[in-house]
Amino acid sequence: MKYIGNTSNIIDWQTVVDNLSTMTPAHTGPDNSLGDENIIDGLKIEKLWNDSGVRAVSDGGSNQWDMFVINEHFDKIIVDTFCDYVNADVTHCWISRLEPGNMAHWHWDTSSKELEFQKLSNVVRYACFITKPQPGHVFMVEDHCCYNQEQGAVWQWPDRTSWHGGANFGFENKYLFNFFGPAR
Amino acid sequence: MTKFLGNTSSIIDWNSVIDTVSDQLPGYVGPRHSKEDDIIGIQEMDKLWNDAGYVLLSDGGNAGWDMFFPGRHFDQSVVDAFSNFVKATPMSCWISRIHPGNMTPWHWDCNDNEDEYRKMPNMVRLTCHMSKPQVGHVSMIEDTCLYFQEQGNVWQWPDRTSWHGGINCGFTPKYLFNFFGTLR
Repeated sequence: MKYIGNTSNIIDWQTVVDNLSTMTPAHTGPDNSLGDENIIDGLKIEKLWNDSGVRAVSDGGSNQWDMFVINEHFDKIIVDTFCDYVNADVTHCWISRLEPGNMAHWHWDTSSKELEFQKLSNVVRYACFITKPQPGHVFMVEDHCCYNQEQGAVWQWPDRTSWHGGANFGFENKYLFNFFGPAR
Repeated sequence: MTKFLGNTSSIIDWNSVIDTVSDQLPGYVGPRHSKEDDIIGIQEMDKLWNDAGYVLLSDGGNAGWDMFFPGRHFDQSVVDAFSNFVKATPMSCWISRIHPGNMTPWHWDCNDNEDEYRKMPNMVRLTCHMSKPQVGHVSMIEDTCLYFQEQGNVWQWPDRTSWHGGINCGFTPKYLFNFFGTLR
């Protein structure tokens, strides 16, 4: 993981967070698509979770996150500003939310569009911490853990498909802006 | 400030301790206390957890951890070797285990004997990472996050009553040796 810088002076992340807090997410993960054999590594991730006893919140476990998407939940201007900051074009971006007690258990972001994404060149992936630093907010990518991050801090991932996870064992919701696309 | 003290792998066979403990039922599943108990700090903790929506393992949720004790679940010689390493006399020690998908929400260790402990001079609180480095195993003490720790690493806490928490976002149980006592 490589620290890129802080976007707080060009994006008002607190307003973004405040707006999201009153909205219904586009969807709540993990969705059932992981069980689809056509999703690359979907069954593998599902098996790893099942074998280690990880359960969804609906089954009394902790594995659950909310997803917010561009235009429906936050303005495109946010993404445009972020693109200019990291000097990359956006292929996909979203904001994830972990409520206290929830985790995004260890996985990589596979989807039905994986083969399409694999054709892209020079893809960079970033995470931006849009919540003010909170106890119990942790985000791990491979062997690196980000915690107590300043609002607006941007980190570049080793790879778009890096294994990662996040958890909220604090008292406030944890929001993260997620972005990947080709470097300009 | 949380402080790294050294590594105990050369004096304690932590794998063997884990193997011994892993086959046993825990002494109890924490948290042991509730708001019904007359314990310093428990009312505040209970409110924080409830307001944030945490659900205990005993109520079908994911907030909970197993507790193991010397003499009963693992050999006293482990405590003796550790005490000599850190040059402290133990008041209390235990091994905690967090299963994948579970967590210890942000808290401090409210004790039955808090009044007594507060009178003790030169108290130190230490934790030792018993498991080999694993993805998704996180301990957080105040503003320090410990991730991918070498097996046997020992950290001294800022204070016996420091706020802390831990999660297991990985695939294997997370074991931690906990110790507090007085410096020799």
